[in-house]
Amino acid sequence: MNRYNVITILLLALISTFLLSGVVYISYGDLSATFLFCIIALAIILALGLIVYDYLITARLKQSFGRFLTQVKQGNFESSQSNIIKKYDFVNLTDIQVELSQMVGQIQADSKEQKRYIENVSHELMTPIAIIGGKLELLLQSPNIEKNDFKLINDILLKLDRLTKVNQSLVLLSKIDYNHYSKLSEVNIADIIDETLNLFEDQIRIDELSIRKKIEADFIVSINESLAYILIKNIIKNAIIHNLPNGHINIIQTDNSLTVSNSGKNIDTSTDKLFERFEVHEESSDSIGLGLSIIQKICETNGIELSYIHENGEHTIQLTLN
Amino acid sequence: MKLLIVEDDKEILRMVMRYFDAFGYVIEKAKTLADGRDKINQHVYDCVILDLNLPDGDGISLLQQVKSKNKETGVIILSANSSLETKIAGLEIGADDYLTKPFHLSELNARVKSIVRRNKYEGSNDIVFHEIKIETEAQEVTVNDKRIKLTKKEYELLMYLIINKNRVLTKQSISEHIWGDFIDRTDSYDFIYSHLKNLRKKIIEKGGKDYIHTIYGIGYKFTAVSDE
Repeated sequence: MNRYNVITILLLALISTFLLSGVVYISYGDLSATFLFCIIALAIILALGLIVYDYLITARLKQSFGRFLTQVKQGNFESSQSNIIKKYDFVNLTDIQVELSQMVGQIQADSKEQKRYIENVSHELMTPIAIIGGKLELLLQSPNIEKNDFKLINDILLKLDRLTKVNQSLVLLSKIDYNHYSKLSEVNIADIIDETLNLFEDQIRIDELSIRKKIEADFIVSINESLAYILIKNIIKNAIIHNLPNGHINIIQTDNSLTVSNSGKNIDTSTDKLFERFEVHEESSDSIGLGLSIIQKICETNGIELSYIHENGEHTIQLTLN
Repeated sequence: MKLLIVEDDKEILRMVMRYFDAFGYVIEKAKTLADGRDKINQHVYDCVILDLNLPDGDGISLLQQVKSKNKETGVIILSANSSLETKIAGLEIGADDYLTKPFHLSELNARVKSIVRRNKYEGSNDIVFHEIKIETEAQEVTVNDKRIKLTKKEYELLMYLIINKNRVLTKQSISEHIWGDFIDRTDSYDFIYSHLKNLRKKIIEKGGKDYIHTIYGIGYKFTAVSDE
């Protein structure tokens, strides 16, 4: 409740007390104690009543608006329109609510439709991609292929590969949005990190990267297992492929946060831009530019705080698990 | 080796059959659940390649039928769905392996061979190619009866090459077989090269021939027949 409202009411009560006293004095020429007491009592009751009334109205408005805001935030309008509007018939608020809910509803429907579309398209493309790839593999076995043709087929295969990866990543992003990965389990992040480093051992060896790891043997987090793998693999992969020869990678755990930092080239691209989909920094990169989007999406949907900074050739990504 | 492939897409059916034909497998096809059910009732297969999404129903019931009829028959699920959950679910209901579309035919071949070898209770599991012999159970390799010591990756490479012998194998398929589909492929090509170099050296040291042929621009071929 607003404190100015209370002051106003009290002032009003005071003024009305004076006025009433004045009226009584003028009318009767006398102001007995009984009269004065009645007037003051009346004013106090009036003031209290007003304060309570104001309090209730504000509370109701607040509650109704708060609920409405929550719904806007959650984007849940399915059951809201009817009951709230009937209960609290505040014209303006209702208008805003109707307008907003229609708007948000439309946005939601559109975005849902868009995600479904992407997923369906990507999914439908997998079979034709499989057929093209398979037929090319058969073609490779033909005895009549000229030496130079192998190169051509290889170029097609490489592009097909990229197509597959973009597709898989888009399906993944859309599946995370759809809460496909909602099943949580106790996952040991330390194990996943070791497994990932193993997977990249050739690259680490050839680039002569030095790895410093400071992680408890049991770094247990309650998270979806698939997503944990995808998240950690993507982060470590980034630290490896965007590194320099003879570079370093530090993987450090402090309480419930994981920091992965690595040496790398200086980049001008802003952090926001780096996280955009299909934003590929290096010109010769084979990366499809969805890795960071995937990292970000997983963090977003799992309540993990994500921060990324790059300065003086040092790239640091930090995850804080809540 | 007798295989059944249950898949409603006729193009996929055709290309798998064509790839496998060259290895002399007996391969039968079924385009529907009902068709698959009949075939499984009538014959005993070494391995069934199963697409779960069939026009007349879910392939899972077929999987159960295969396993109840003959435990030694291996089952590989073929699916367009790549999530780990689906993979785990497939393996939980008794499939021996799971392969996601798109897949390399050479990879499918390696998986089929590996399952059949695993599930077979009788007979030798050794793979022999001229003077090279792989004892798959002990994971040991001999050349001219002399043992060679291979790293895990060299061993996997050799297996993959020999199982897909006389076929041109792309670097992508080799990379995916050894490192999975996560690692960036172009990065792994150099690694394939260096592992193959070591493998070659170890085989030649024991008097073996060099069967690993580089196919310019695309990959490798393991063959006793020289191209040039």
